[in-house]
Amino acid sequence: MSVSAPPRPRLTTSVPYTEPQPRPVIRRASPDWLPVIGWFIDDGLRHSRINVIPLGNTIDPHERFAVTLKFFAGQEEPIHTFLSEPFAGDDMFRYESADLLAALRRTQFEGLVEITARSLDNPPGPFPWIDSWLEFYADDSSLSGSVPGFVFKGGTTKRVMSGKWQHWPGIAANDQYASSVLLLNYHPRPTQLRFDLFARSGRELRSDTLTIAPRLPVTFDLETIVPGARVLLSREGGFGSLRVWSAYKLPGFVLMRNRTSGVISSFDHTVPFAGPPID
Amino acid sequence: MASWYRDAIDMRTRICMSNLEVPEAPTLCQPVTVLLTLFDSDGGELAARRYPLRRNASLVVETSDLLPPARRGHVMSGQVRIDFEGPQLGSSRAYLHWYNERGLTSSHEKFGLSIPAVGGYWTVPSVQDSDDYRVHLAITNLDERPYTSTITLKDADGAALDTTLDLPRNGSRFVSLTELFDGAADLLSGRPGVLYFGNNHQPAMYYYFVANQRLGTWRAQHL
Repeated sequence: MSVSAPPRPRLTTSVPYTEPQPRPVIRRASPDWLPVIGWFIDDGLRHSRINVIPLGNTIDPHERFAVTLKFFAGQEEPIHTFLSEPFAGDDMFRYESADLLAALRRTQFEGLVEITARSLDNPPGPFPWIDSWLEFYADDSSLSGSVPGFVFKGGTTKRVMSGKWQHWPGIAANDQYASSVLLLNYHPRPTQLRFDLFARSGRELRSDTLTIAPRLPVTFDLETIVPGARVLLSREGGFGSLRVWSAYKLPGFVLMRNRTSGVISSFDHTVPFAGPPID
Repeated sequence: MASWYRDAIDMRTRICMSNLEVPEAPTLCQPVTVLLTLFDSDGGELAARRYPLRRNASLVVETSDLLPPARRGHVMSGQVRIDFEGPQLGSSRAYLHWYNERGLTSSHEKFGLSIPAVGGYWTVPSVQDSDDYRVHLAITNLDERPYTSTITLKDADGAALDTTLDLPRNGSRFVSLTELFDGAADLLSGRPGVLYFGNNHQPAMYYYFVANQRLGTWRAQHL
């Protein structure tokens, strides 16, 4: 079966050829800690929590950390920024979505959060980010999940977003389970994407080429964006593999829901395709 | 690659892999084989089987189908080793389904047996103990040597309970918070705590599972 990528968006117009000139290498005076990206939601039923645990990132109980949170909801600039007090050792940083709603004087929010946690005592090392965990839960128990923040910028062995292809083997579309795909567009520009769904035999269905608006998350219902998905997979056991193409890097997550109970108890990130592995 | 499985009444395991084309270079994708090896909790080999995986095909295997009939439904904890025998095009990561009649939860294996360093300790970031949120730990030893670690549970104020865990080579454990610690619920007092593994130098794989006993579901997450 021949598969080709959707046409690459034209980003620049051609310009007359000019001989490249040497440029001085630009170096930061001191490297900064990398941010991680996450989904953040509170709609009155579903809630979010950010956790940064000092001793998950250092064995020094006195090393101090501080966190900057920037919340995005479609605009290029954040709609809210939160700066934590320094914390260390057994002081855990936990930020609840209710705190954001109070700050925004809103009753609902769904968007992106950029989490930049920094050590106040040590410079970034070979792994220049602080692990942050995002939890999601619902009052009626219909959602339960916990995922690490996505390291968006690469340059390390944990090149989470090294590829424009990502995949999830084991996606469900059958009588018992339905799947949806959450994608985070952190870019300040629209991003095109496409879903390729494979049955166990390799039979394939594709979505149309879709677009996510800038600085927003979107949850795609698999059986809506890939008509025939349930029939395709159900004929071969109900599970298959999903491949996602995007014009720019998009953190991706697969959520699987029990059709009878409505409970989502499977919520984890995809892995990049054709790129170095992550752990 | 390695991961953890359970084949019991309350949780069964399914292994999912794919061999998808890189669309820019489809001819690089070739048929491969995948070798699955199951161990018991003491690290003894229970079963091994090799599967063909065609181009763009996916492999979905129930661990119970691999196990010897006498062991089916009776493996409370085990390591599964997954060897993808062919060119690595990047789509060979395995995901595990852990499921029962009420729910399904999924996460991925550890790629390779070398674990990147953590700056601190392997940490479960939010530990609670209630009927809706009961933490279980699944740990597999990926080292050639026996694995020993302290496990520390701390409440929101830093008060702690400690215990230790020992695993033989290829061994694994699945254990609840209440089995590990007397008085965990009293310590946590309804507020989220944290849990640390003191051994941050030996390769091991850590998942935690949250049991919602009211719904009868599990939710898995790797550390």
